[in-house]
Amino acid sequence: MKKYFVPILMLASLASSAQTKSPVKVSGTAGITYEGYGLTRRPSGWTGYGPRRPWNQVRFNFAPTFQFGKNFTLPVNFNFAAFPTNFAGPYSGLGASGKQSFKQFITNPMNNFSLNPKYKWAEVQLGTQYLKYSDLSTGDVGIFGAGFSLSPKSIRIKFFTGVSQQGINYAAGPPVINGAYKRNHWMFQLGTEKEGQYLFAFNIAKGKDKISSATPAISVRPQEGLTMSFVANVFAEKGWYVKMEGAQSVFTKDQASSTSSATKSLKPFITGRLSTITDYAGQLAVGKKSTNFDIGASVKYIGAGFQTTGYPYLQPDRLDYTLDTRFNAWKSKEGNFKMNVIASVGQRVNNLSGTAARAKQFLGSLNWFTQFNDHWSLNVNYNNFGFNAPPSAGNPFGIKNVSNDFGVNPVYTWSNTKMSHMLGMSYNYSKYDERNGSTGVITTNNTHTALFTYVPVYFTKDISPDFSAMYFYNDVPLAKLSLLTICAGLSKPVAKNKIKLRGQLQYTLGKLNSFTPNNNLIASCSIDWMLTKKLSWNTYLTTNYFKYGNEIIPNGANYLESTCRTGLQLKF
Amino acid sequence: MKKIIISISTILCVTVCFAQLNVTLSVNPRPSAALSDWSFRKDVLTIIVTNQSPVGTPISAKLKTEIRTTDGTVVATTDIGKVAVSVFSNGSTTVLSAAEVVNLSTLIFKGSYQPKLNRTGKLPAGNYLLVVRYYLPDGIQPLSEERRQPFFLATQQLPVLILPAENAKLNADIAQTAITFRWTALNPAPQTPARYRIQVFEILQNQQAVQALRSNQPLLDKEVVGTTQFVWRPQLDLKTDSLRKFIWSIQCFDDKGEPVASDNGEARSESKTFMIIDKPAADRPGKLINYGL
Repeated sequence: MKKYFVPILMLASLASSAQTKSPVKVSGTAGITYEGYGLTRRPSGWTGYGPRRPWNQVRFNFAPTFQFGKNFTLPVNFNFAAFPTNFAGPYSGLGASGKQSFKQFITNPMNNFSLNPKYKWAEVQLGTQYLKYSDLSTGDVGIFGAGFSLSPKSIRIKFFTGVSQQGINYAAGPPVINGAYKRNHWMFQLGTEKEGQYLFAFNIAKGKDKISSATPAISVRPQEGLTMSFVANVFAEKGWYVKMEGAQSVFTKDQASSTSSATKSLKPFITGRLSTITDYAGQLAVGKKSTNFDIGASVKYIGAGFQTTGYPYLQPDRLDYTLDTRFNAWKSKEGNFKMNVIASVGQRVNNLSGTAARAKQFLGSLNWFTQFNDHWSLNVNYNNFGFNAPPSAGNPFGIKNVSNDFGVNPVYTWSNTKMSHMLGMSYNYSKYDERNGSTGVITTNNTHTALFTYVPVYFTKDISPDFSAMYFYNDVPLAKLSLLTICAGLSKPVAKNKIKLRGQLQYTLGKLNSFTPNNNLIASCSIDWMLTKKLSWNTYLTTNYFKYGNEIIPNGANYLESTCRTGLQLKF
Repeated sequence: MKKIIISISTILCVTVCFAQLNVTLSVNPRPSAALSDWSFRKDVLTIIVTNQSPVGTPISAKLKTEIRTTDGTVVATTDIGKVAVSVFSNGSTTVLSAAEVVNLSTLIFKGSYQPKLNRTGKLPAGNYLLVVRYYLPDGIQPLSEERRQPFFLATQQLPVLILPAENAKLNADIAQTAITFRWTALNPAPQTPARYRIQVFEILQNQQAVQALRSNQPLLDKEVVGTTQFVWRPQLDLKTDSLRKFIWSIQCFDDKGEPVASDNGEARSESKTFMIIDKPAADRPGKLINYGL
């Protein structure tokens, strides 16, 4: 721990001194935070509730920006944690095993180490970078490496190469670690841009697993993908815009498969193999944006074989189209609009290729806010979502899910010379019908939620309380769940406003069917102390006690969960 | 006379071999739709070949595989000239998996199937027959009975997350008691009730959404069987000053606890983010609902 903390404090100290003694300007933040977690379960040996945070964690951040003269800046971002906690993705399992090599630490998605020196229009990108070149080429994955971004006048040239994950061997566990191959990335963009007017850019992005880097589980295959895309965005007068992108991917699902002349090769970038697939994707959005009126239509197509290492969770084989609008209406005497409406309608069609099970989804949503006068406002929302898959093998009755949500939310405020009051009410009704494709049985799921909030604001005192009461009722066949929550919070500055205290108590009475009720009490407090103008000490403590009724065995099982987070933050 | 004797001898020899190579074929009725996955998946098919002859010379043979539609149309057939010769010693039993039986480097796909395979790596969704038979190395004389097994191919459509919608802003007063999650069902439905693993991760300060998913410990990690809704009681104080952001996703498992076949390997849906706002409703200019298609 010490090895991480000492250099950061030294750098922060240097940064502070640089600001006062030299023409170099430094601004940014640095800090260290400790989080401790505790869980006590009773009766002893009962494991029905698992820990959901690491027992101990220390996080560091050091993010100064050095400004040398007018044209040169050096932003630094070191943001990392002492213990791995990966539960999804290529590093999955490392969190529970608690072991990682130095290379894995450097490239672990939980850590960032980046330097981005920039001189006028030339930027060098070093370390961990989350670079989004476009919606269809690359953008979701953090890569540790090196590259540059050049933007002389309207020219855009970008290049970056690095590693998004290190090789990780399979481990039978526990915990089971499926492992991963080391994945290298290369990306390049050439384009022209004038901010607010146009962007035309060609992107090429490649990711390739290194087969010799590890021995992961047999189901983890060494992959290789190349994606090329062309982006064209045009912004016209009066808020009109057109955005489009077309892309092609060549993706090898298994580099261990033999080379093949029957599949597509793009040498020297990628060689076709038996597991190589090639497909297209595209998107188009047209619309108009203004202060009081927006309208837009968009279409997105992702081919069944379109796959890119830059967006590993992209769902293929679909066509989406949506129409959105937003507008303000009903002008007051003061010239402000009293009404705001947001609406959206769209559909998704799956299985354009014929290789997947057919399904369609429909959605529609409406949000309507009105400020009637100084006292009353009303928000109404309605959302509908439908999913429909016709009968097929395995689904003799077809799958159908329909979700309808309606909410109404009036708010009344009033005040006198000493204080103001805000009384909020909210009711939401949700109906969800789910048809089982195998049995044809339709399950209707009804949920009612009612909420009352009261927030008094004192003009002459510095305490800020708030109160709320909520009732939640969910009714499905064989399960009726009701929750009643009351909550009170209070915040108050002390020590001449140097310390801000806040506390909250929340009690929930839950009941499932005819079982005896369960009880939940959560108490939390935060202490934010400005030690100096630049240095703050923030502490947060919370404890959560939950006691089951007789809905589970052993009856009366309970747990106490506590979190303590405390940290120093320096702004300079 | 000599020709007749040779012919009779050949027929006798083939008949003897025919009887000696016994083939048993078993096929997963719903294997992975991506044919390239078959090379490493052990759950796709198994062939057991037994040379029943206790004595004599080992039998050399080539395996011919065909994929047919249920109406008999040939989708793919083995180029027998490219198949390596297998030798079965007397009394031996050999077990083969999909890697040896459905070898994409020796299969010739007919008509429009090859372009579709090149584009998607899959065949059109539907019912198929897998047909196998051993031949003498000349590829003409059969050495075993023809075995056929039906199977159904369709890409598993992973769930699409419905609620909370992409970038939904949830009221902290409600969210700290209950958050309702909904998603679409795995399609086509598996033969046993689908097992969904719902995970919710907090996006910490200075983190990107997918970065949080790939690095943080989930606050919720729950398996839900056969239904597409879950009411989460977060048991968290969400009325804090800073904006709290979360990312959630659904992972799908089969009845053996293995992720179902999917393009991303994890059987993980596209994720969605939502945030918690601790502001009285009157301060909000209107809750933006965006299903994030």
